[in-house]
Amino acid sequence: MRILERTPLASKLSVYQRVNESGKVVLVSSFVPLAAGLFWRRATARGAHLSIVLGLATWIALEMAMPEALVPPALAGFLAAILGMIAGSLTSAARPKAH
Amino acid sequence: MLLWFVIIYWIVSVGIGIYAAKWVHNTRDFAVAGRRMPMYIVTATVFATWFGSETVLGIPATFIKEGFSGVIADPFGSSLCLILVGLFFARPLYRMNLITIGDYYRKRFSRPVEMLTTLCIVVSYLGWVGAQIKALGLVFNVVSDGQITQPWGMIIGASTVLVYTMLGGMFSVAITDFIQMIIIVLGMLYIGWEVSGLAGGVGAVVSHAASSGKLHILPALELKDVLWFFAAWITMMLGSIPQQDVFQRVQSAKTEDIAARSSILGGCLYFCFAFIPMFLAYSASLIDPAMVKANLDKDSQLILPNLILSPIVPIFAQIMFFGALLSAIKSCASATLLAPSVSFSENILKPFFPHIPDHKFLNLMRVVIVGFTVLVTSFALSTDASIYKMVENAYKVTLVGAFVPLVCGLYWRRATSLGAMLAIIFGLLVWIGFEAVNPDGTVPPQLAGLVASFAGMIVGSLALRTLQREATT
Repeated sequence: MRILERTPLASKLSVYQRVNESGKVVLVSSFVPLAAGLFWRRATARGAHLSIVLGLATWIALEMAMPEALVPPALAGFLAAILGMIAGSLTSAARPKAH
Repeated sequence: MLLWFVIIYWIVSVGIGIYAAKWVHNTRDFAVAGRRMPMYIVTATVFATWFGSETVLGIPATFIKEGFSGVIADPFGSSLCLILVGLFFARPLYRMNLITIGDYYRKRFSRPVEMLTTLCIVVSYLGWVGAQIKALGLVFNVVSDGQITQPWGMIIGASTVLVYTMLGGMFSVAITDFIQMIIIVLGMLYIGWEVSGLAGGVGAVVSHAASSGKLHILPALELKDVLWFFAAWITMMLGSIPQQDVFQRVQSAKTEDIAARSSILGGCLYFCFAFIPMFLAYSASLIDPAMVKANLDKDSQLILPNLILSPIVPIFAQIMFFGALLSAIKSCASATLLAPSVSFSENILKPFFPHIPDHKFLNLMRVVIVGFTVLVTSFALSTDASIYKMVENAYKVTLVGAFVPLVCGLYWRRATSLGAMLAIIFGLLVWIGFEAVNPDGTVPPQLAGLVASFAGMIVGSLALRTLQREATT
């Protein structure tokens, strides 16, 4: 199985592609905790953990298993990160300190 | 003559960067320019950072092949990203008074969130910086007519940018970005005017592009096309919001209003000026169709430099173009060297030295920048495709290194820090070992690394417990 060649950052990419590819890892890991932390009062650390883990895991798994699927892996990872943030935050106890 | 102008410009701009380093006295000055930059400097540094080799060489190459719908990520997504940052993110983040985006994650959530997002952010810069260093090598090679080889071009370019970035941090980067923005704006406007004359006017070029369907933005109404188009767009638009380079520029502003407004203005300027390289490259298909056709099959990134170097373009216009191109790459390279190094020092290294005095921490940041530059340059230089691929796959590092410690630290009560260290070491060693020895075996290397990482966590956590128990009994 030639994982390396099928992964998103496999070489022979143009400058344009290379810069765009590198945004994906940040999209699926860091964007949701940033935005939720600023704009959603109920966002918790547990929500952030779940968001990062689900976002990265979904993205990497889909990128390896079916990189050309109907739903792009980065988009699926992004949606998983949102779900993780919501699920994790709502299941945790109320935040001790008000923001 | 072109080469001499480039050399003089390079020496002067690097010299100004080194001079600006005299204002740096502590890590705050180094990372966020002491939070005292006026609006025109912040706008310039936002604009110049994003206007890099991908804007001048990458976007036009993709545009010629795929039209507007192919460049939805950059410039459409990227300029919207800066505008969104200005509208929604700049003010609350500025008020928190932080040095890095990782600090925000620690304050709002937890230490694991800080570590993991910082790792992802640092990794995401590797390909970006590598691309700028390669582009520097290419441009030095072209303007010296081959006298400077590409590898030497990369070394000269990376080391000179390193010198002032390391000494002056955000201060030097901001001041040089201001000068570079002026050169980019003047150079692009002048060369656009010159080339539109050669191609028969702006109207002729635009109507030719429109008639060949290049100006359609929306993709075909197929579900898959729409989804992929949408993903490319938000990857750049939202994925670039938590980037340290954007954050650093917002934080370096003098006031909250300046932070927000200059991000919006920088985004708008970027959007306007990103069209000029596209226009130039498309004009080439009217001016010299044979050259464009030949390059389309090989490397469409060379269409624009080839057009500018053709004898019909006057030497003054060539100087302006390469001045602007070098400025664009230089500001992008300095920003993308500084941002991940500051993040790495502040959010990964600093917690291991809790009582480090500020001046020593400043030196640590400088050492990290040097290390990062040497690393990225040597990878950019390396002609061994497998090493290069491995770096480009660097996000797997998070899978084999950081995933297990994060999950176990959160959800396994018996996890210890020895377990976490063994997990990282086992995971990385096994992954690199498999990647080197048997990359195409039945077991994918990163999967083996992940399993080893779990094993390390269990062994480390349980063994330490047993040792402790023995010691106490």
